Amino acid sequence: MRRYVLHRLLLGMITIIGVSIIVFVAARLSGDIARLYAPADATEEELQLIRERLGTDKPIPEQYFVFVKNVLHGDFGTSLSYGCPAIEVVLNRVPATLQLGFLAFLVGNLLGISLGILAAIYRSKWMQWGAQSFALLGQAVPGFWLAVMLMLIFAVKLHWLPTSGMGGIRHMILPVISLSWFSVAFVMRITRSSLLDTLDSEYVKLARIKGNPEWVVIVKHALRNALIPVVMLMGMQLAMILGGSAFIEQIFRWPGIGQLMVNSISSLDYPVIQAITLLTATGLVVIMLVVDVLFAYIDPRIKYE
Amino acid sequence: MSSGGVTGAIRDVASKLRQIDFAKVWRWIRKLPLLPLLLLAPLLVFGILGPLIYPHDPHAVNFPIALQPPALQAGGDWSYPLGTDQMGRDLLTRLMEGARASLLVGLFGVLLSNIMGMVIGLIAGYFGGKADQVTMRLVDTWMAVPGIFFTLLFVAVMREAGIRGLTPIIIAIALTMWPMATRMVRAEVLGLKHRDYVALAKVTGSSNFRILRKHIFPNVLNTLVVLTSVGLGGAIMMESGLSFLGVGVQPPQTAWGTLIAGSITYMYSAWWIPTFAGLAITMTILGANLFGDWLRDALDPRTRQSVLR
Repeated sequence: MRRYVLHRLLLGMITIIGVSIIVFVAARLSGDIARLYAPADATEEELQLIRERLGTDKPIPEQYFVFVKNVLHGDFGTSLSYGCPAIEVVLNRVPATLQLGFLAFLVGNLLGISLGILAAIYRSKWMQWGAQSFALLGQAVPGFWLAVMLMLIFAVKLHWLPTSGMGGIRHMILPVISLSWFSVAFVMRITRSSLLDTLDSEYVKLARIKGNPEWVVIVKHALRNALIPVVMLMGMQLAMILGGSAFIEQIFRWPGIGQLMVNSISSLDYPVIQAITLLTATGLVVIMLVVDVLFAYIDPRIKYE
Repeated sequence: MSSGGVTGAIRDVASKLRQIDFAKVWRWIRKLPLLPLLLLAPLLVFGILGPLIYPHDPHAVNFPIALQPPALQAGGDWSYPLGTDQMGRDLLTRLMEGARASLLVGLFGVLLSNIMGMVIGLIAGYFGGKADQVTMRLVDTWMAVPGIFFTLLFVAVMREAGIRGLTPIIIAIALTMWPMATRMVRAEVLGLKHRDYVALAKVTGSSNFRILRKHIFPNVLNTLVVLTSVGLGGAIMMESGLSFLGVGVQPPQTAWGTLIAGSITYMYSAWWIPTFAGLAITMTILGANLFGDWLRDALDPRTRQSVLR
């Protein structure tokens, strides 16, 4: 068990180092960063000075080690558009994203699991048709289009909800729906197929033969096992929600890291881009690690080696 | 062109055509799934024919008729069936032009990503060991970051490095999507490489390259075909997303994503722009996914009987 945890920890660290190399190399490949910091009419000497200050005149491997050393001290450099440390800019935006993302994650799972259970239990023709279509639409309707259409219908035409910005719970309804859209369909699909498989298994048949009421069979015996794949894929779901936040926050003017990422890309604010990518990657790796380790404890069928 | 000249060429083609068994072709066509192809038809027809069938000039600005509603709504007329945009350009024509960008980026993006994924997956799965470990860590790395972050970064970097046009979008999509193909191909190769015919090929002295080409590759081809169809939907979703965020297809060229992004400002007066543009994206992705599902069943030897009757 301890070896398994250590092994996973090591893999997680390698993954984060991989992300850091990719992000670092991508930033360096785009050309002379000194030009981004310098005024448009800077002379070659001035550029050279900036290069020396940034350290971009040194060989790439050396630059990478300096970068890593600084990152470990929490120093991602100075944001080009905000003029203050990149890490501060990013951390200021994290609560807004967490707020929206957490709600979307909750809605995605609660709604997705409930719909999945319904679709697995009530096997009427209409129910199956509805579940299939919803699963297909969930994959085909882009979240950003759903967001725009919801805004068009409920904010612009009906005036029920505000169009954008932060505020009370009313400001969060449309963003959360569009952000969780993909998750709901995704979780429903997995729950349904997994529960259908479980309901066919021997131990569920045994639980039925023992004379348990149907809901006990489903909740106590079938669902517990059926939800394993759903929990296993939670890390992936979080990654999808974070990716979706780039669109949803932009549309609803929600000041989170998704919006910051998009703005930083268009202004080529590399320190902020690097900070966002590394922080989200680290967060996701840690969450996936925790899920995996918890599972190894809970489910004795998972092999450690 | 045996008898030479144009008449000879026509005669050759005519005799070839006469040899085709049309009953067989018809039987083959009837097996194709109707709904997915109908959904994909606009993308293919408008994307391939493009300028030949545009009802209007997609870039001709005509302010007097700006934001004219669709034909069925009061104030619309049938020469602009889906209405016009804020500059009086015909929405239908712009959607047709958008199909072209989506088809080009989607198709080349998914092909490039599948070639990358296949080569890496074949090597990792077949040789195993170090190559496999490095590949799997690389795939993990990709999974740890929300895909769109990498895509955004790659496009921005390539644009900054001076690559113009659709190329950066295609490469960025391929760079983001390859792990999916790699994982599937690798998993399949792991199952194939211990088969008897691979062992026999080794005994007869075949080189690794020959075994991969002759014995492994044909067996992962089905998976790749399915991946291409499903991946097409994913690639078009990415392209429209990038265009929506303003980093994808650049104006004046039209893309469905840019149409939706541009329409947000005019939302109070023009519901038709985001509605029809989004429907175009959804239809196309749905069609590609359904076609992929059909292909998977049709190419799977275990279910072939039931689907192809």
